[in-house]
Amino acid sequence: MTLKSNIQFSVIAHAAWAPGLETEADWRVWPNNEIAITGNNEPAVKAMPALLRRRASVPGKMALEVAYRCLGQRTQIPTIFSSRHGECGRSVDLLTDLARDIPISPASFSLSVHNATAGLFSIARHDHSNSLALAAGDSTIEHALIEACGLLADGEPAVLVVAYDNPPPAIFSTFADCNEQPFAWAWLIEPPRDNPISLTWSAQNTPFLPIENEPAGLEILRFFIREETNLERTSNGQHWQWTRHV
Amino acid sequence: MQKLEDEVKQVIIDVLQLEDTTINDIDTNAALFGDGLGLDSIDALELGVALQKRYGIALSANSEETRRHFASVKSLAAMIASHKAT
Repeated sequence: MTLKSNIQFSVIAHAAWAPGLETEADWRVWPNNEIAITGNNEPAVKAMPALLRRRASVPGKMALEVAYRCLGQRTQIPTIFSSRHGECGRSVDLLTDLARDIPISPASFSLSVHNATAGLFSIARHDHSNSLALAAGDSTIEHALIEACGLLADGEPAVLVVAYDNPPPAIFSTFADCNEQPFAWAWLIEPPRDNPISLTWSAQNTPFLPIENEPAGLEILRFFIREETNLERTSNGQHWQWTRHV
Repeated sequence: MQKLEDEVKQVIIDVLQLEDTTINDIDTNAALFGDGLGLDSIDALELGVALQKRYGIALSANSEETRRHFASVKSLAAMIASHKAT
């Protein structure tokens, strides 16, 4: 017998940003491969005061852009920032400087932690609500949703889930297990109502995955935008089944 | 001195990534931290590292003397000038 666990939720608002895909119209055609993630430009994050915005990294700016877009004027919403690689780029730069005896940047050091973006978002919006930063390998987004549904079960009316990543520095390229690309998206989720999404999981050995695969964040976003009814993924010893109930 | 003061302003803009700020926007006599330019303690540390890299000046992070040097562009430029003279 296989033990299965399950969560259910509804997405009531969403936003996405990646280089080359900056508007809602861009994302509507993206799942059909009519437009691809290209270039290395970064979002403007105009909603954030410039004195704070200058502190954000490129992946941080992508996360902030979608968090602002998705939340709008809403306040007091718990937020989960989930990223597989987070501020890994900063850490590698800092360690490289240290190895070369170059004085390291205090500003970069202070923002090299996984919850740096969550901190900037909270400070900029003067919003003291619950904030989490999460990483769980290729299953990061599934674990972010489990965490979010835990908050809903505890009585929170809504939770913002932000998923974002940037390809890790080249020094880690031999460890790549997917075709890393920059992306960020956000879902504002509430307890399940009409046409909810469910996530069911059970333990399963993880097969070797060819690195041509998309990052999990883009697979899940594609399932969401295309309003597909089913997505199955196996990673980190779990079989994940995403279902849209129609 | 004007030249050195402008140079310090450019270092501040570059090192602290003050986008959309030019040297004309920074008042030579205004407070750098708190009310003036709105910089914070992390900026002070960042600027300290920049002075070390660029001018070879090592400052103690907590001394009263350092606080005086970091008061404004004018005091920073004066400190750099006196360091260059020694």
